[in-house]
Amino acid sequence: MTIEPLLQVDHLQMRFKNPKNRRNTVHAVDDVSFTVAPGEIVGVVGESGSGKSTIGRCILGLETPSDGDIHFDGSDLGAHSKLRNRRDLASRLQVVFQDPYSSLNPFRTIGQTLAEPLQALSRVSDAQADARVRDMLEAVGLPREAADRYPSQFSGGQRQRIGIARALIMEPKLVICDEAVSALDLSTQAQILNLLSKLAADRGLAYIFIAHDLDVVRYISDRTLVLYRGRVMEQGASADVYSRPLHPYTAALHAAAPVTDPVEQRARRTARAKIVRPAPEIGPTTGHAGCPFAARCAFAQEVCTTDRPADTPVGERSVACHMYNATSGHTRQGAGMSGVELAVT
Amino acid sequence: MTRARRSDNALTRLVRRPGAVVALVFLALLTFAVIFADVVAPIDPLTQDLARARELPSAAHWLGTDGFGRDIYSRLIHGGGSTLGGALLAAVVAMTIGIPLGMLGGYFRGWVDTVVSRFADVFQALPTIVILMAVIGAFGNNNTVAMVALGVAMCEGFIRLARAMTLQVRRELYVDAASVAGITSGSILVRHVFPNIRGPLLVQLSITAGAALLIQAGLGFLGLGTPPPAPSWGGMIDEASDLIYLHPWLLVPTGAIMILSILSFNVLGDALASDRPGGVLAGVRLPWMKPLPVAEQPVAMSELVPADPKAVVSVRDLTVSFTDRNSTFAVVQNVSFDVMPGEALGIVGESGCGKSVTAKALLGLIAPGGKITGGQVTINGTDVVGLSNRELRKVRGTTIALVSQEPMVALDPTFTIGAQLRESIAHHTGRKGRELNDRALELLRLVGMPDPAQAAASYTFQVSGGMAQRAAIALALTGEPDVLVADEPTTALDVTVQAEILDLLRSLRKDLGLAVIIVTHDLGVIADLCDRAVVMYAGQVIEQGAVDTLLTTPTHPYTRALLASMPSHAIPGLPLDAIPGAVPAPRDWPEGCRFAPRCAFATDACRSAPVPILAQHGGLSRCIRVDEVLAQSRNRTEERNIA
Ligand SMILES: Nc1ncnc2c1ncn2[C@@H]1O[C@H](COP(=O)(O)OP(=O)(O)OP(=O)(O)O)[C@@H](O)[C@H]1O
Ligand code: SF4
Ligand code: SF4
Ligand SMILES: [Mg+2]
Repeated sequence: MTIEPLLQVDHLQMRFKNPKNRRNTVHAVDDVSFTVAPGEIVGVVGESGSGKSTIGRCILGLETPSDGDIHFDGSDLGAHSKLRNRRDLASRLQVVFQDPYSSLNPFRTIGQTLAEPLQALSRVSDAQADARVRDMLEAVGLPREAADRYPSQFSGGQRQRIGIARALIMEPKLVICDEAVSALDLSTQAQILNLLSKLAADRGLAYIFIAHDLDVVRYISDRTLVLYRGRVMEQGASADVYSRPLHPYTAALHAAAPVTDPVEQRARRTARAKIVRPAPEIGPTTGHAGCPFAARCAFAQEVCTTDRPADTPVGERSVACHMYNATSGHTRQGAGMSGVELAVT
Repeated sequence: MTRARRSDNALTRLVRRPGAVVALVFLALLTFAVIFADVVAPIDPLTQDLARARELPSAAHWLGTDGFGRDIYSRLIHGGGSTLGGALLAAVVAMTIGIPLGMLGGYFRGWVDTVVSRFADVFQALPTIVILMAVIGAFGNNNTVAMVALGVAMCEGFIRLARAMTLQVRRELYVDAASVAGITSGSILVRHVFPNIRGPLLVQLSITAGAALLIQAGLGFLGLGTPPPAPSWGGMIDEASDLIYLHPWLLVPTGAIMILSILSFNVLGDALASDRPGGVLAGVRLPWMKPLPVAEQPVAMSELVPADPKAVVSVRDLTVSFTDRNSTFAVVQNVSFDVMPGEALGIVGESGCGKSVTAKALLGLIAPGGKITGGQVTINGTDVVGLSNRELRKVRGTTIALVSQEPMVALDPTFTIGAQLRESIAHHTGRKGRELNDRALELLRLVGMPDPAQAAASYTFQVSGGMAQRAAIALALTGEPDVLVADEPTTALDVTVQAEILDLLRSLRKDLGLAVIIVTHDLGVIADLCDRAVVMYAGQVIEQGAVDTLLTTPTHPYTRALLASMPSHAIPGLPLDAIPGAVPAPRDWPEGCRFAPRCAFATDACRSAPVPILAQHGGLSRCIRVDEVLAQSRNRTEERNIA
């Protein structure tokens, strides 16, 4: 018997009309399914424009999906959701944004910003709200007096702590962290990652951790979803996805992230050349059929440009690549791409 | 509910601006005088004395008399009520109608927006003066009615502005955060949208009040609005213009008070518009605060980097300072390094450590307020410090060129990539015609464009970020420079694209013998591309050496801590080795070792005096405890090997 997931996303679709060309729609999210268990941290990695943020915004209700189902903690939030009032969700589902500068209203003190949802949703007195705000600030490593100050008086890292405090003050079950550490310096990023891990462990929080940095996602998340052009390329336990990438795109991402050991970095560079074609991509492929990575994949064959790869289970993982599907017609059989070495037979 | 500290409200912030204070005092005095007109100006504004007509200022008539011998001062003060009051009334009416409508349209969009926009169109199409004439025709010549009508006619500006600003603010993440938090639309509009659009609306209010004042005066000039002989500023201007040759003085007091009023409205509006709470940042000092002592000059670094005649770039004790209202402070101090032909040097560190200022100073590019206050920068034998802008322009592009983080900034969206390349090639090399085009295509091929001809015909917005960066690099190469300075060239790109750009820079080094100075915060980029690296912290070089040893056995605790805080080096489940605190701002640099407050190795000796950079263990390191640092690293490695 499995635990009931906290969040279940099924066949989520999000299409945006291109304002310049009506017939050309952008498939920001294309048939994405995944679940998040209570207390689980699910990482979503992918390059910019791969649809990571849009998935988060659909779950939060900031966008209405074109199609698909979203079930969160007993509520239906999908494309056909009848839920008009998401107010009662606010205490269970929260968000931390990337930009520590635009995510705080410059005209309101930190205390006012943090107390606002408390006072709107639960009837607490001013004094109670104030006490909870200051407790929360302390929990994220800021002085209690921070409540009396304005956003402009804080650094980027401190603002991100405030953003986390705002998300956690309602004691949510799931927090969507959309590039929550991407804008921060290395040393600040480490501080915030430690804070997020500690809060998750202490409070039993689940996160959807959206980032473009594979290392960050590997470090913080239990499971990882690798996204490319709106589609899930591979998903599975973070440790596996990182140590033994199955999908060529995951392997390419892995080989492209530079490491600080100059010798190992040279080895990675060699490995990358074997996975990604040397010629850079010519532009966004608009075709919907086929594998979105085909234009850059060193293993692409005819079938990759005509048929869309199905999500194929490989052990505990799911991979959308013809090489892992015996009936696809691809002549190679993928056997995983461990770290820098390719093991394609 | 929490409350702002007392010292930080809109009024106290306003009085820190001298211009705003003058405007505020002027308008306050004027309002006071107008309200208590009978006391302030006891002479009856209607009493005529034809014997004393057209007099210049005197003790009896402070501002002289008009054509009927009436006291001008008294008429100005008594007429101010209807004039100023009327103008304000019109502006307030326009604001009260316009702002809510505009905000609703911008926030809800859809049909609400359509209705609001059509409403605004109607008032834009109808000339204000026609509306006014019609209203005066229907309701008779009454100042209040005319001014309310004027307000309605002027609401269009507020609608458009409020709508445009709301459209912009509703995309801000804090609006999203509030709606995720379950805050109602009404509260979001009042608490989150309105305060953030208030500034421009206040400017609009002051402009509207000023314009209404003029229109009101215009009406007076036409004999409408306030019926004579009751005084009004517009009526007085009308009378003055009749006597412009006989008694030109008449125009001066009335004109002056109108100009001063309109100016005050605008100055006040400007000040309110740029008002931000919490503007007193940590580190920003107000005049009455004691200036911080500038940290003592550290020991010169130049002697440690011996002169090498082969170097294409040679930097010695480069110091760059900025000046603000209160003081001059260094942001980069005594930076020294050399770059050999074809070599790649990395400058690495966290934000605010002075990497970009250093890199841009090599090209003589310093932001306004900044200045190179010491040292030399020798590029191919020429010291560029102190060169005029014209001389610098000759060096830039042909000897040393810059590629920035945002390729879109370097490239002009209104010209094709090819056109920009051709222009720059012509400027640098004097080539013409076909040759120009051939060279442009050659450069595009060189930077790895898969289809150079197509790329040349494209505009920047038609290509991806990686392609735009390639085009920007091609543009930087048009003058055939020896050195390319690349300031975070891959930070805005995805890792897979970043890897391709780094490959490109590597091949340019090999094929053209180009020296590359790359600024980055990513130690992995340094490992990938560079031979040597300069690590900066708080404006100083803290470590410098060959990449192979610097990244594997760092001698400085900061380099070591940076490496340790990388998530790629972390074990999931265990906390990351974060560096406590944050990089200090230039004014908060400590006296002693600047890293001491965050350093795990710090002792009292570190804090007592500036730490010089010294040649040690094959590189340069600004630390007095290098031996302890290296010993601990060795122990760690042994522990790991045993485990
Ligand atoms: N409101 C919108 N209208 C039109 N297109 C949109 C809109 N929002 C997103 N898109 C498009 O959807 C795609 C996915 O966008 P999304 O913001 O989810 O990417 P991302 O992976 O989060 O990128 P980044 O890392 O840059 O934030 C992109 O092609 C983007 O241009
Ligand atoms: S489906 Fe084909 S193109 Fe796509 S990743 Fe697999 S092998 Fe490469
Ligand atoms: S001098 Fe002292 S405080 Fe500075 S880095 Fe070295 S050990 Fe740390
Ligand atoms: Mg995003």
